[in-house]
Amino acid sequence: MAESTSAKRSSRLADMWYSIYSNKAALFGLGFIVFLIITALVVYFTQLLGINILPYDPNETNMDKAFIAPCAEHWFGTDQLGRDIFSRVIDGTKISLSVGVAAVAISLSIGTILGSIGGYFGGKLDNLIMRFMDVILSVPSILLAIAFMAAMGRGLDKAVLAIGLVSIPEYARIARSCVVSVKANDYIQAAIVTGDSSARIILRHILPNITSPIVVRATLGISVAVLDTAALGFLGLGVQPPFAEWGDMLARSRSFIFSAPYTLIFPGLAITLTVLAFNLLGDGLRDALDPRSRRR
Amino acid sequence: MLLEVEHLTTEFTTRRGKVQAIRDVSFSIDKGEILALVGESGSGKSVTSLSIMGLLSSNGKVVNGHINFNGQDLTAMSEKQLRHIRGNRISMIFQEPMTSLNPVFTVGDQIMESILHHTKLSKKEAYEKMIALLETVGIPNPTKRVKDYPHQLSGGMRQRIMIAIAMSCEPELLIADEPTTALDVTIQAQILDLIYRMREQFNISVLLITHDLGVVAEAADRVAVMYCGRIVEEGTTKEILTDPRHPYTLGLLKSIPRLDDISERLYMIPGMVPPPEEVPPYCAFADRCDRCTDECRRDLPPLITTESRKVRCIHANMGK
Amino acid sequence: MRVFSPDPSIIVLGQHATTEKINAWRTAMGLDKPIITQYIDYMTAVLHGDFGLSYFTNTPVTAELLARLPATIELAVLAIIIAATVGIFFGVLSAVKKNSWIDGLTMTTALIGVSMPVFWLGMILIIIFSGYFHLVPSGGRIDTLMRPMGGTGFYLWDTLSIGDFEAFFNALQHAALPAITLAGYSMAIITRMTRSSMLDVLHQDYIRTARAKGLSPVQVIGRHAFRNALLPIVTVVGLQFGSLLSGAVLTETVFAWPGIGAYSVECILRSDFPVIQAVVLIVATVFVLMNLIVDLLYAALDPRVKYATGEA
Repeated sequence: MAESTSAKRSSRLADMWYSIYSNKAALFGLGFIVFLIITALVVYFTQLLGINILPYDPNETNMDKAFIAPCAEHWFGTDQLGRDIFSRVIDGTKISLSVGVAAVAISLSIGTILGSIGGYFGGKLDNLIMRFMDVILSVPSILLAIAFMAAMGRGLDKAVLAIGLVSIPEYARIARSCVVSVKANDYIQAAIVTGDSSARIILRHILPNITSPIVVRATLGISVAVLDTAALGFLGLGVQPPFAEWGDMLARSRSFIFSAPYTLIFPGLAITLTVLAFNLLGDGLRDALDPRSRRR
Repeated sequence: MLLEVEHLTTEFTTRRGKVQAIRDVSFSIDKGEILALVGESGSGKSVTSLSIMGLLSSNGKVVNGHINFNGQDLTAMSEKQLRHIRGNRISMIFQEPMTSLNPVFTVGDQIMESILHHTKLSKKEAYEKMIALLETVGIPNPTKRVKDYPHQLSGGMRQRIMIAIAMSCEPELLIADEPTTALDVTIQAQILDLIYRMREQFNISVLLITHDLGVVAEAADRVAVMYCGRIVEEGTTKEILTDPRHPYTLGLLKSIPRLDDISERLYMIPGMVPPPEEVPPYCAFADRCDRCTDECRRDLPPLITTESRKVRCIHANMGK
Repeated sequence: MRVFSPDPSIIVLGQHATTEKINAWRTAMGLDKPIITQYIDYMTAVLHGDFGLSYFTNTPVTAELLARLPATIELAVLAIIIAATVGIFFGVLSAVKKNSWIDGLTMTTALIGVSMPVFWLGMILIIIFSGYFHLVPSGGRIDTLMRPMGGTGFYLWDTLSIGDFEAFFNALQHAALPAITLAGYSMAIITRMTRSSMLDVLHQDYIRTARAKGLSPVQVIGRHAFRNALLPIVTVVGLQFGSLLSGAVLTETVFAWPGIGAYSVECILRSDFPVIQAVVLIVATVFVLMNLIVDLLYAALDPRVKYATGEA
């Protein structure tokens, strides 16, 4: 039986891949994400080694070169402190991606665990968890994240935590409904009868079955997290200077909106494209998993 | 003849290319006649009816043939002209009375809509007509029922409402697409009886689409059997039921459970219906047929026509 | 929230305040009592419409918020009207013309719409319409001289009710960009939802019945399909109104719109907790209220729901 389920799973993955592969938009999203990840990793590791492969040092200020419009030397121009915007936008990939992934990792792990526990054990515990999730859901996520930040103080680590915490309920809900439906299957009942421990049943039988919807949610979740990171950065709650973060760059360019509009075109474009890529991939994955929407 | 379908071919464009759902279908219905179109699911009977109505989904298209209704060719008509005929001179009822009525409008609204759309009656006259109509189709307490929403009625009641909508403008042709399939057996007989009564009362013609030969035996005057998008046999109900000439019709008849023959196991036609894109250029039934010879796989068998019957099989012994 | 928070006294009084000063301030603010007592006191006051005093201005939070509430509501209502009309229109169009170039263009725009940061969209609009074409002002609610005195605080309403059309158009000009910006995201969501809901409905059997009656496409789509598709659309519009309020935090900041959103950002940056608490509470309440309204509307639009509850 183990063999047949794993075969089924791998064929489902193959199906998903095929569906993504035939969906040009999703494929474009995936390609762009891979490009972003490679860029972020390369920048990160070269910086660790003290090498700057970007055209300029993203954090080096040079007041003599402030506000240069885009040209051959500075592709995206320079900002109010004379920093090269192209280098800063590329450098910012690192932060946006890592915050996005880390925040989703937090909400995904906590949410899935809470939802699975609630769905598996049911009863009062389930009720308690899900009512608590409802409370979180009753406040719009970005506002709640801001409130968390207000309480915990500013900083990137806290931004990650805040963004992660506010989207826990979504994963908890998905996990719970999957667990409830999977649990009704005969083979789970069989495992319970044969005396497997609850932890073992959850890990071996239930979790593998809820991966697909969670993966879709997580892909779309990263796009939301990237947007929220930028919003917190824009409000001055995220990363602290001098590090390059897209939202923060936009906030600082705001004063020069009429005199140097190019300073805020490119960071915003970077956010939009990144979020778009995750949305395209997420939509593609969802269509791949939901045969009803695929037929359309 | 009220309706003459000639060499009708309907094509669907799918991702895998063009597929012909029905090929070269011809039949006719006389005034006041009930013709049953019989076949398994996928045989093309529903596509035939939707082609007549001009209600094919956007990827479907009549590519060949004519549909003459009272001498007018429906395939040559504009959408606007067709709308004048639909629901007015040709109306249709469907398999699922559960989902065929709009859940957010009262049944009264939905019947009135049709009457007001096609006639010049005032609201009051239309209302009176509706109440009379509901009494005719056997809805008790119609003034109360018209205020109900579809979900408040039983399946049989809903199908009666559908029939009332269909009859609301006194059409000349009623197309009934599997009208009893989704209903309980006891209700099935009532609905068939109602259709039969409508025919008597209003002298309409009926195209009855079904997979159930029991329904055919009960209601139809003539029968056309479809297989893989083609008509394979046609004749009067009595001829078809007692003396089938096409092996497929024979198979269908043999697979009906009979009360007088409980000893044997139920007959099953071997093999499966080929999907529409894999229908062979020769006799489509050849691969499932026990009379099949090499000759059957050479060409498409011609439609052998005698006085009242048509059969598409070279082994049909029509001369006998 | 209090549990996590850093000691506000340090932020308010500065790093070098004396212990005596801090203790006096804490007593005045009631922060020396146990946390449970603080919570009960707070909630009791809230139920009486009292959100306490701002740490910074020492003014009642309730008054501060009430002064700014009309601006935010005006903006949110304008935005939801724009989002719903444009979103539903293009969603229906897109579903009806499925796979056409209109559909492709609409869905691409909608997807970009959900991918764009609200504040960036706002700034781009300012650059184009305010900076380049000089069509509209880039911030504020109305020119100072035209500000209506007294009234409800809803400038569009106030100016219109006294017949001051010049001021009305001035206020409308000020509101145009912020409202469109705020509407952007919801518009995209509503478009996508409307399209998929319409597509769902257009495949239903009763649509085929309606066509079989000989109804025209306008009647089939406008009456039979749209009434059914409306159910999920109402839900999404209601939920979007709730999330507009949080979008207002960013939009108001970009456009210097003197509403609750911009104010709460100021307060967050200086850790003015009574205000932040009040804002979160109010928005959550609106959110819950909207859910309730959506449920009621749903029952009004869907006969099945009404009878299900009636029989239960």
